[in-house]
Amino acid sequence: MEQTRVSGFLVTIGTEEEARKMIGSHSEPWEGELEVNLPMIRYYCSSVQDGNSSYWDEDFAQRQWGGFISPPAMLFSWLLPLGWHPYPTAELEPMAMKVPLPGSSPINISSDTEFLQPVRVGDRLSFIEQLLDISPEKTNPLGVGHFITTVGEYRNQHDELVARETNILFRFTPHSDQEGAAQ
Amino acid sequence: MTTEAPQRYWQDIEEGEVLPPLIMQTDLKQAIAHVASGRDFMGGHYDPTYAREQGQPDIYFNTFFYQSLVDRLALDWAGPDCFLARRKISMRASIYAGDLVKAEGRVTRRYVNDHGKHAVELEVTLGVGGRLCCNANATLYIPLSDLAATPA
Repeated sequence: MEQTRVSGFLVTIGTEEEARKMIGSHSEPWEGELEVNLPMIRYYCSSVQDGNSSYWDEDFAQRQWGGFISPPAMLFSWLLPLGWHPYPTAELEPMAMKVPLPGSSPINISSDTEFLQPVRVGDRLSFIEQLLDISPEKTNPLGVGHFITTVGEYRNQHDELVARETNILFRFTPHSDQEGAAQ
Repeated sequence: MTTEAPQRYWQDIEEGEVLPPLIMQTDLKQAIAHVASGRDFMGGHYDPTYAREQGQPDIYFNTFFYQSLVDRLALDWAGPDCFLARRKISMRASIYAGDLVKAEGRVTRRYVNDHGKHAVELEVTLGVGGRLCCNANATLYIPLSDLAATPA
């Protein structure tokens, strides 16, 4: 199976039939390289103008949660690698990219996230993904492709489940690429 | 110091209650800061050429951004003592830098769940002008007022 690089991620190209054979399979555990930390939380909150005391008021956060916590929307941020390292590292291959399918262009469609406990400053998160489903080929305004359903389990350094997220991503070939223009 | 309204209590919330809308004027600087701070460097979120190859007119905001607007609408209203237990988003249309985004929501259910948690469920939409960008649902655990235990 061919692999291509799409904006930094390795994407595996193949057929729907090959993808279907992977349904039910799990990814290797992936550990975030950065601890959940307050400067990155503040930087993120400033970009969405989120003034919740859980991220800004130390006395409040200590009293309510036992310390600062992460905004829920940063969950996957803590798994994303830095863009460059001075030494060789393993490469994050999200399941939706690793599944062999004809389309290489990704766009996310939906997420359903359950939080079992807060993600806390000082936590190191890891996650494992499972491929749940591949849709038949579908056409939408962007192109022709397949919907990929995955579920990811996020654990902290104590191996406690902190969140479970079911995600649907559309892997497609844009309409502009299908009208003959070879790339 | 913070933007959230006073803490809400479970007893005081009614099904059908409409949340104060959240309106955010986005811009390109914010879009770039958001990608960098969340570190989701998928090409469509920062590279206009790649976004256009995908059939988009320009770079578009990522999933974290939709999630954050839903979370903010819910938690800014309910208060920082609340815990977001579940949030579902279904993205219908892209949001672009420069869009004026409006998040709206209402309480659809107030109940005690199987674990004895006092919960409310919210139905939320994100829109830009007349364009529906996202349908969402959120479940919050909300503290009980201790007023009931206080002698009148």
